[in-house]
Amino acid sequence: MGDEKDLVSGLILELRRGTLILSVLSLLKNPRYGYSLVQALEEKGVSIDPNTLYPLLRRLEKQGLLQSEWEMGESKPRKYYHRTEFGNTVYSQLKEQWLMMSENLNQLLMEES
Amino acid sequence: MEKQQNDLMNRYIYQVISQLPRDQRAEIKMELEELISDMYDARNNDTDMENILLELGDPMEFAKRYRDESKYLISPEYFDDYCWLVKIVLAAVALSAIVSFIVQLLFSENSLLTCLINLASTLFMGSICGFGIITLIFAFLQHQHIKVEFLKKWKLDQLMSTNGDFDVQTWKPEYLPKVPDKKALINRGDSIAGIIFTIIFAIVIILLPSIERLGIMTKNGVKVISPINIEVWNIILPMILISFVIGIAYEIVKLITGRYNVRVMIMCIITGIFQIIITFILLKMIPFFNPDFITFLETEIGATLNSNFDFISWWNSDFIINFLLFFGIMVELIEMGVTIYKTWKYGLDSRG
Repeated sequence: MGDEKDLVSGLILELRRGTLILSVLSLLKNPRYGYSLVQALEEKGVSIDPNTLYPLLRRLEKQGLLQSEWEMGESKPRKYYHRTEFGNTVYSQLKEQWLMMSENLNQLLMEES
Repeated sequence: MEKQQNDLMNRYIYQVISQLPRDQRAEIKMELEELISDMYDARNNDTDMENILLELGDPMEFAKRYRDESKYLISPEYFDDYCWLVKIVLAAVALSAIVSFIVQLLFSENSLLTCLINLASTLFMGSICGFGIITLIFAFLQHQHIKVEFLKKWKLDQLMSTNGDFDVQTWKPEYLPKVPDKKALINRGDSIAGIIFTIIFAIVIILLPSIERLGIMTKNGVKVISPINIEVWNIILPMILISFVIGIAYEIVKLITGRYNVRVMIMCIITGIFQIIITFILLKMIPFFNPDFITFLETEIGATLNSNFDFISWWNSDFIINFLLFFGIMVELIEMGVTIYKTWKYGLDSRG
């Protein structure tokens, strides 16, 4: 029984994983800091662990899609991320792809049921 | 945030960043501090730090995500030390090759061409050997580290399947060891200096037999003699090399561990005992020096000493050998003593 449960949650994880980057990019037009992004995604129904998100943000920055700045003001230093020009381009392409793919998939699923 | 909560957070962060390349550590430390204090605030200060850390999970896993889950021959945790060491070893090899070259030129009967050829081959072979030994040692240590982690996980996986309970936490914040005391840290400069000198000695000693004759000024003119007992050289040389490799391996373990703890102390005692045994065998049981050379020292220098200082003849070959033996043993014992003291004082409460 437990094996089935594991398998299903594994597959759901796979589904989520594929769309994670797009979800993250979508919320970073304006600068945001890590934890606020976690909370924003939660609100939109995209649950993500901080220990996935933070390394992901670093990776996206390394790839040139995001840019970060440390704000030293207020009570503690905060790292803000936002999309770069290149990030904007990639984001709109990904978005286009996603809309196309999900339309096709929805079609497929409706026919099948 | 209370002091205890803060300490727990620091321990967690320390575990994560120690797995990451040095140049990223400072920034990721700040990121993690930001994250954890945000999580703490979001729960209105009414949770334990433990719960937050449990949510974040095993620090090793966290670090893996930062590192892209690649497999390493030598992981970032060790890589910077490794690069540094390789550079130093190569420099030491070069330096000692040049020194040997000069010594050969002056004291042996070899022609300039032979000396140059020896220089080139020493540089080449020495560099490759040095690089190879350092790489092997680090790769081995890395593998052991992974094995230990893997074993930990595997045992707990076993536990999980027999219990049938799939919510068993495999990692708990209470497992976090203390962040090491600054005084417990091992001085890298010392280790590195130790390694350099060991390598220089090794290369010089390897080339010692090619000092076929040592010209020494005596009252009766220049006497030419070879200092080392050549006949048993093929027994002596491997023993000396083993001794050097043991010494270097120990220094590397110290460098990697970075601080005094029980493991370092045990290695120190083991290698110290080995070194003492090897020194004893070399000096006492196999005649290391050419017997003629010893007699020569006895008579010539003994005579000089006698005339200048009125010593009674306790200067003889036994004395020389015993002196060297004593010196060697003292060095090892001092090293062991200092290490044991430091471990006892600073190293015991951090889990080795």
